[in-house]
Amino acid sequence: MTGNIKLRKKLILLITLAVAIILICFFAPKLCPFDPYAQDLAKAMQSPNWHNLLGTDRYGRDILSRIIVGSRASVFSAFLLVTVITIFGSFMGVVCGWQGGKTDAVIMRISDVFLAFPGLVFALAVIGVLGGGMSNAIIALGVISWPKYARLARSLTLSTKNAPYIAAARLSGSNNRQIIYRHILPNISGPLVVTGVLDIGTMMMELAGLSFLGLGAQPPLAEWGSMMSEGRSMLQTTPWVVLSPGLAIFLTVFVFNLLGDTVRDYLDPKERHKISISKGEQVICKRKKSWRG
Amino acid sequence: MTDYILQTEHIYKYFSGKRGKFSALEDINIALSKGECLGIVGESGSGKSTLARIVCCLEEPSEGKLFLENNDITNLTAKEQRKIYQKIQMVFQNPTDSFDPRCTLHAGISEGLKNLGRTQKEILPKIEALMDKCGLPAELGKRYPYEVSGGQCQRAALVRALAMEPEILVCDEITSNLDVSVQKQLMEFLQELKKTDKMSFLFICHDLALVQQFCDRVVIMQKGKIVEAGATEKIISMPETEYTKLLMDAAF
Repeated sequence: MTGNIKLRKKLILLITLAVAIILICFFAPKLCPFDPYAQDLAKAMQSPNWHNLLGTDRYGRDILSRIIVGSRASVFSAFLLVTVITIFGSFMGVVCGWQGGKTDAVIMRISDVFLAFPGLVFALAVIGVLGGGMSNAIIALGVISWPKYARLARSLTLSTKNAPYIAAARLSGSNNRQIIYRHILPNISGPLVVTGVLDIGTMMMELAGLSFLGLGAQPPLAEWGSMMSEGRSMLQTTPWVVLSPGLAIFLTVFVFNLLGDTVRDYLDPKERHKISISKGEQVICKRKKSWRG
Repeated sequence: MTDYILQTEHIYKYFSGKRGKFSALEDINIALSKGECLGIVGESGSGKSTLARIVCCLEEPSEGKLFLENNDITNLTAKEQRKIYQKIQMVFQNPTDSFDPRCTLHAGISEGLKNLGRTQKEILPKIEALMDKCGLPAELGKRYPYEVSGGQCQRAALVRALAMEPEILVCDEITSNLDVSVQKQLMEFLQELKKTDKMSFLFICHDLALVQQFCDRVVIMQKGKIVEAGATEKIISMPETEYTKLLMDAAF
């Protein structure tokens, strides 16, 4: 038996859940039981029932349908945003760390400018200039988030580039590009991918936050943050209007955060190749430890 | 100019730190003939490894010149440096760290040959033959560096260096992390290489007993300077400086 079976099973389960969420985003219009934008005031504010599983909102729109369609704006946008900023930020960071000198100084000072502002305040300023709307909210979050990846990739590159195996690769006649692709990127990808996967949750929350403030998704576009914002005044009378999208955000963020942690464990080759031991053996190991201690 | 295969002329190396500029090497002149083994001995921090890195073009000297077969190789472009690595190779002190933890030993060993444009069909038998020569079973190539012992990893590092068929092998304290039996095995293998392949060695070590066995000439370094140099037998039987005497007392 090679490899940590328990870790692999956990990873497969979480990847399946994450893929399921992304598939829901893709096929959202086909999965909706009702038209998410069809208003029917006669059915407004209905509590969850067999017909409308998660109830209806104040315009009589089916909340389940709106959550399914809203996943596109919430999850898919966050996923795309994180993918773009991870690739762009990491590229900048690796260039800085590897090249050093003036390139490093210039790019890092630019990233310092972005990091000097509190994230959401800067995003609000960008939206202030560009105007509200989902695409502008995404641009604003992208602009404030890439320096984090650049910093991380730079510091990882700096610590990796002086490793003896990089010198050995150079002695093997590898050029800079080959060293970066074969040795630097695989060795620094772990923390970057983990940060990226963890950030899907954070970005979803921030996008939802901006939409909650009315600066992201504009009505009637279904988006989880704006759905919560619309229903917040009725939290005490019709809590399902707020709780349903809230639960959707919570579960999705939970899945992506857990996936991030598991990917980190899996990318660590020592952890991956650790042979999983049975519970009985674990107890014996613990006892032995306590005897020694 | 005599026909030395490797020669350094007045090499200086400075590093700038928090306390200002500090000199790691001062006026280093060494010369290595074909088939010769030159030992470099000194305490930790005496600049041995810096010298090894400079000789392998992994670092540039602050001053001075480096010659390979009478050609100046001090300030080469990256492309020219890659050609040099077919003639000069290095084995590092810490074997496990000198292999990428994400690549198998085979991938690490074959990287140089791949870069030379050899196909897998050519690479595989060559590496297997070399591994066999170094006493490593071929299936060990499928393992990761942290899955083999230090001795096995060091031999794999030696295979990696030898796969490039170098004329000069720089050994940077290659035995310091190994136990005595593996050390002996490795030294016997190096002796054989020296005899049969006429390879030149720059053997960096702080164990004078090993140097006496293996090296034709020896250079004693202290605080970045050469304090004594000459034939191994002469230095060991009649050390001139106090520092060499001190090293001798510690070793024998």
